[in-house]
Amino acid sequence: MACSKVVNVNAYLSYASDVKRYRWPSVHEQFSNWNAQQTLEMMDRHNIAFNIFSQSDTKPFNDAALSREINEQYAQLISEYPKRFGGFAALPLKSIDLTLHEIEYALDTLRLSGICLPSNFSGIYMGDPRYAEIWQEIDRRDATVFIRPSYPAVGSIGEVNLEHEIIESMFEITRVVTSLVYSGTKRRHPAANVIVANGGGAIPFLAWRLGYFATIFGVGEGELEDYDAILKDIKSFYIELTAAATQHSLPTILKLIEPSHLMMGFDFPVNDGCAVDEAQTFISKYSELSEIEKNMIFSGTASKIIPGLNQISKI
Amino acid sequence: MHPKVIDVHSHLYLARAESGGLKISPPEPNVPNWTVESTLAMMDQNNIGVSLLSQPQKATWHKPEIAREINEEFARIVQDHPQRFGAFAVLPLGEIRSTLAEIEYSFDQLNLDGVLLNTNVDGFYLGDPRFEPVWAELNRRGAVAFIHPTVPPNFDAVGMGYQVSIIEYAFESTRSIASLVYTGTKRKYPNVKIISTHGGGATPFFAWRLANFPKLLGINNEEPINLMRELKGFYFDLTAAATPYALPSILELVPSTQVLMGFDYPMMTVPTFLSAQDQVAKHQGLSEGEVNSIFFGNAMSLFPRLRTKI
Repeated sequence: MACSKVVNVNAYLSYASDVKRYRWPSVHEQFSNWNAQQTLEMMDRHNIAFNIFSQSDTKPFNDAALSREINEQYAQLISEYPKRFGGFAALPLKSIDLTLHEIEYALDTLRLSGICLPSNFSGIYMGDPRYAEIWQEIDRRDATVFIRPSYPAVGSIGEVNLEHEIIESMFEITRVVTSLVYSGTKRRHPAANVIVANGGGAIPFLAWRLGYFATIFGVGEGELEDYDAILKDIKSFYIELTAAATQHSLPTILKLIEPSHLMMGFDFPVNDGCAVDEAQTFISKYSELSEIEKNMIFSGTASKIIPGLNQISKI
Repeated sequence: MHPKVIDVHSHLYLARAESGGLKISPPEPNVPNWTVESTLAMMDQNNIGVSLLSQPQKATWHKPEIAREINEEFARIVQDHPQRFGAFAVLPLGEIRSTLAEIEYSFDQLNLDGVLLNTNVDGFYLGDPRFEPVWAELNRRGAVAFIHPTVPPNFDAVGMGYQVSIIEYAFESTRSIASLVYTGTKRKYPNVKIISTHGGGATPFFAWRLANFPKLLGINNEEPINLMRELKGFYFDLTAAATPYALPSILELVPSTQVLMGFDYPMMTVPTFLSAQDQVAKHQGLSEGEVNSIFFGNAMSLFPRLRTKI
């Protein structure tokens, strides 16, 4: 492939065969079945220089020992393959104190790439005031956060008989960004580098709505907001392009988000195969992007906000 | 000034005691009561030639008599001002037999222009088998169906206290299209002309995903190209979507001949109506002919009786 090597910020320790129809393996199964060599070969086949792993399992949120185990496993992987693997820390969100403690341990002692947050935990979206201390800590550290979709607390919203992953996960991402913007959380913590998974859910397409309705309905009781201020908040996110490096999504995303805030992700290895190569080819050939901008999307943006990545020479 | 626009998304909110006890109040307290005169004045001030009226409240789902009364009111308004108004019949969608009767009455007796369908009815999306007779009848007539969002089931669990239309309505529009495409309903009833409002919710932005993920995730073997063909079969109105963010995705999915104007009066604020027209008129890549077709030509093709009226 003609393009330069890619940093993939959306990867897990499991295989496509495990996650077909999203029958997720447990954390223990993931680590015991996982094989670094096999993953490295897949990465090489698909031009991926660096994978940053994260968890979509919800058990660690309720289990501090499990969160710790995951983070130590990530640290172990990183120590073995520091030029190929990174990890976003799992957090025991059920306890704010334990979460703050785990952030400190994961970033200071284990030196992980950042932390991973779900769209909601037990139905509470990440802009809720009860997470204020977590955001203060992220902001204080200039840390990087990767936000990925979780399930709505009620399981399903509409009985469309659809797999959650096709569209409902996108709505979850849209909700959490709305929560972070409308609550003012994003604006109050400008040093936090917040990466939103999956092309930002529907946020790019709906950006005008978020700005406009904030001027009409307000973002809280009697709190009307300014359109431009809301759009500025939305533009401050980083977005990774899993399943969004397409002609249907990218032109809209580029209207909203600068290439310096875009990066690659593949939900890898769920989308092992054509989608990974297709996405890279699509960006490589996208005529409205300069070579410099393409390189930002492939690796430059990630290198700017993932600690240690810019020192890895071969990317 | 632009050529006059046909607005396919305009709501009638009546609060009139003399209407047989019928009281349809606006869902938001700050929305003014609807009158023919004030609406015509608003249309004149905002370059709107024709407004297609609808009434998306779910009060009609199990009350055929309310649906009938609203539809007769629609017919009176259209009869009085045939050059300025059209209407989508409201249906008692929770009662299928009554719905079929109301479709017949609305088209054959009242000459209304199409029907309004809610994204879900009592939690059932539009591809659900219970709606088969409705689709079969609309298909037989080659009717226009305007799909409008309603509150999703379990909204309180995910709504975060924000007004439902901000983001959840967009999800509803996307779900309803997914339901129609994935159940094969869209393919089975190709003669129904379906307008998905608000630019299809987020459908155009997620088109690749909607077409490719069933096979990619191993859910089924539906070929992406076949699903994409169905997704390309909808009409989209630009209510709250005549924006630089939404237009590129919409125009990627469908040709400009399947794009219509909508303003959501009186829910959306009036100053957005002219600015939406400006956005479309100046959108890069749209020729003057395409802008005209979005403004009025496509609607005239869908509603032939309007052809001579503007």
